[in-house]
Amino acid sequence: MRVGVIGGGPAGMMAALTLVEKNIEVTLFDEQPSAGGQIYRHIANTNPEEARRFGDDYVAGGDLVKRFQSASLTDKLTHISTATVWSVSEDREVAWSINGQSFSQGFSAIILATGALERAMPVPGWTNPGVMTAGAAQILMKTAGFVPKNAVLIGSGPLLYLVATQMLEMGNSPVALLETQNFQDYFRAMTKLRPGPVVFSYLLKGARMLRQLSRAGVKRYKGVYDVSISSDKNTHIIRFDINGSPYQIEAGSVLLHAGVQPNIQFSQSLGLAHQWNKINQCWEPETDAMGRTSREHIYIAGDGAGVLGADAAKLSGELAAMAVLHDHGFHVDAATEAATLANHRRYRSIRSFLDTLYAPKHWHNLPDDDTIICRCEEVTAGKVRDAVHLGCLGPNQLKAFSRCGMGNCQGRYCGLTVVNLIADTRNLPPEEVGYYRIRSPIKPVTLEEIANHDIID
Amino acid sequence: MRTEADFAVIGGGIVGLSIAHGLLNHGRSVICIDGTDADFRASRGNFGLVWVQGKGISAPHYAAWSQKAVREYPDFVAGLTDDTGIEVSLQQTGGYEYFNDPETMTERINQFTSLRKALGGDYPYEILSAEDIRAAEPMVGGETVGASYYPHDGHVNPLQLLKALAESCQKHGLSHYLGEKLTQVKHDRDGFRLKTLKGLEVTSDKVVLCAGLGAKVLGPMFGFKGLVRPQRGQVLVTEKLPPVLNRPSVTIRQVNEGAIQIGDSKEEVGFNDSETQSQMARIARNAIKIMPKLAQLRLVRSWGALRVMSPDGLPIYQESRTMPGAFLVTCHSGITLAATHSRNLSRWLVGTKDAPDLSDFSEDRFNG
Amino acid sequence: MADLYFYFDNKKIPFTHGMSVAAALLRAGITDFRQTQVGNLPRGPFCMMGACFDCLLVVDGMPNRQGCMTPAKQGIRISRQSAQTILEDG
Repeated sequence: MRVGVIGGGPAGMMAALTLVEKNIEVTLFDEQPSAGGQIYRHIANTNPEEARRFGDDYVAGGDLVKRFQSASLTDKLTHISTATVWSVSEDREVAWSINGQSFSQGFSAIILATGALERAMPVPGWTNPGVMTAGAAQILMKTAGFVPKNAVLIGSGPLLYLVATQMLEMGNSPVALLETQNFQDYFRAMTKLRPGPVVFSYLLKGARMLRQLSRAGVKRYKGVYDVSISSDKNTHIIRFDINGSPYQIEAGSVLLHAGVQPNIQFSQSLGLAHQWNKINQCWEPETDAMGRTSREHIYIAGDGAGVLGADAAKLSGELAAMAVLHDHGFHVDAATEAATLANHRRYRSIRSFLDTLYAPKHWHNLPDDDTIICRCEEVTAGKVRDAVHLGCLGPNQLKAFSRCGMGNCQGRYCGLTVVNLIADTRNLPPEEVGYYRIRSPIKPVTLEEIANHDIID
Repeated sequence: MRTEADFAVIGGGIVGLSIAHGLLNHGRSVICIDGTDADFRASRGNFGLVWVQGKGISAPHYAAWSQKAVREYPDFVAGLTDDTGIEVSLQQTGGYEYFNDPETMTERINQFTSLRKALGGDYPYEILSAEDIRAAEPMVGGETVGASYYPHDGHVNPLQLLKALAESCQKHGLSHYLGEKLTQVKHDRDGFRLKTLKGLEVTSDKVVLCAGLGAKVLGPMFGFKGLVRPQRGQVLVTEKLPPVLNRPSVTIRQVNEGAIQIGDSKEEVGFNDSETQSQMARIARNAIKIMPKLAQLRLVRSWGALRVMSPDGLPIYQESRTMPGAFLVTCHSGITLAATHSRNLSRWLVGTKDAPDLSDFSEDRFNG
Repeated sequence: MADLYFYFDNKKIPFTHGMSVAAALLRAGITDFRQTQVGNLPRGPFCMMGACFDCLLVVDGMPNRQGCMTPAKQGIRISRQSAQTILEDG
């Protein structure tokens, strides 16, 4: 009995620890050199003082990582780091590549914990050098102590404020925040607000960040739409509208953030059932409350199942591990399971509010014809609309008509935009449009490795 | 869009659109009833070869039919590009089959010799030695012992070809219905009345069934046996490179955008178009034997697709005996045959005096 | 400890241990890493987490390397990537 966990973030680490505590052998595959995923990235190499700049949650993550690292010294838990998993087959064979060499191994059960990606925000100029995601800036701060200068952050969502305050802590204030949520979003979101301790602590955290930003003089523009970016080397002019009036602002770097979507590359490649999340406007794998998917012995934990944040991800990792134990004849304490489920459920309460407040906007979901929407193959929104008019019915036919989705990123940054464009042009709900057929290799790997890889028993 | 026409073409892939193209050229009105994005759609998953070499080894009439098809290709493509402005990147300067063991190569040479005789000398293949092929293709090395060569073989961008055909047909008045599923067929002296799941009703004098694997279910509705089965082929696609391959081979070709496409497999696995690690590994190993430098290239994506296979692998061209005016057209080489489907098969469908004799390709050959 | 550096188009780029090549280049003010194939447009890092494949560089002769997933190492030679990979000889 051996379980494979894909991903070294909070969900993956908790899943592994929960299983190891019950003496189950676990191999955890991690793309990074040290555990933590994206949210706790680099924490093992960061001293406490520096870590505090990224907030209490980051610091708390350090404890989890330490626990995980100790456990990986035992022979129950194998932590394979700097490993790029490029295939997980239906019969649970995992193939991975380290330093140009590939291996494969079979598992009794697989827990996918590959987290989430930032949603693409295709606006004119979003492919210009110097334009990155807010998450990218966070990674730069955590791993290189570097803050993009004179940054303007554009979009919506808690990460926007978190990154802005982290930049302040690092001594390099952003110039401004261009927030895309408007009055109607606040109104709609308020109807979703349910009182409770999770909600309260979240709102408190949010208020604290906004106060910090205001005291530092970071300008906030609200209700922003129709953003476009023109760049000349490291100077960017951002044009946008508010309430029908045009605005313009200059920036040294531009950071986009239109929310977070589950990373569905593995779940799609396995042919798992997915459902369309109407508020967050993305595909999510269908799971039960414990993380079981539509395929036996394959489970999903963390943001990869639906974006609920790091704390929920930890609980979700525990739940998936409990499901694995259940399904393979091991005892799970009913009270513990019930308590974890109840805790996990509490995170949905704030999520409904946040997702509604920060829902993606049609003007970047359905960009103008001239805007590139497939970065890899340089395909514009107009080309997608033309293809639909020529008879293209779905994302896979679209690949055939335009190469859109065929590039290196295999749809990670264009998939949802394509779904929205096709749905809009065909006048259908997005869930009827489907998604790209995702195939291995999930990340590129050499032919040599495909041809010859060591099969580990 | 019309609901009455001379011809209703069932299936809008490469075969259906090539036929529609030819029928429209004959001045006929055409409706195309096409399936959905979820259908298997072999036109999206093929290697893109315009190919004669190796076909019809034991069926000279098929080799001859394929030869005719590739000889008409340049003209056909030029016409499409003139009509639509779409470049389909046809390169037809010959193609290879590589051999990495002398026995297989000898067997092939013998087969070609017999075939040339059967075709009255009209089969212009050549054999290249290990040295010759390395000189002709610098990427070739490793275990390669030689290659066969056919001068009219080549490759095309099959997706651009499909797009050009779709646009050309639309331009010339094709009524193209998408996302449809045929559920009812009525036939009488006046012709055919067809109904789809979504409620579309179409009337036509004649019907051409070219819906690929759909012929299994739809064929009997028109009185055909519909003897098609899926055969899976898997393909690997590498990162993009500057031009390094001069000519395509039956399993390795460089597409016009730069990636190298590597096949293939022939698997009987039913309606399953998934990729498998074992086949991907085998395909990669075989390719590296022929071209060792491929080993360091990165695979960006793989795919599997289902060929539309008749029992002997040859096309089926059949007019229905129980419903005259209904025709079955099925093959697994829709790309190669696109030109001849447009130009020559259309004559057979229309019933002109100079129509080709296709009796060798009827379903009768499968009778016991 | 001596200052660490690697070469980018023959220019010395300083870095500290643990940084990715992409991070070090951004810190040095370099945001354009390559030219695209179709439009010949400049691109640089976008996601910094190995998902977007925009930060591709040639690292010690090996093309199509994701800069954000390549740890900076003393003395390695990195260059901008032009439109396509070049195959290595031998």
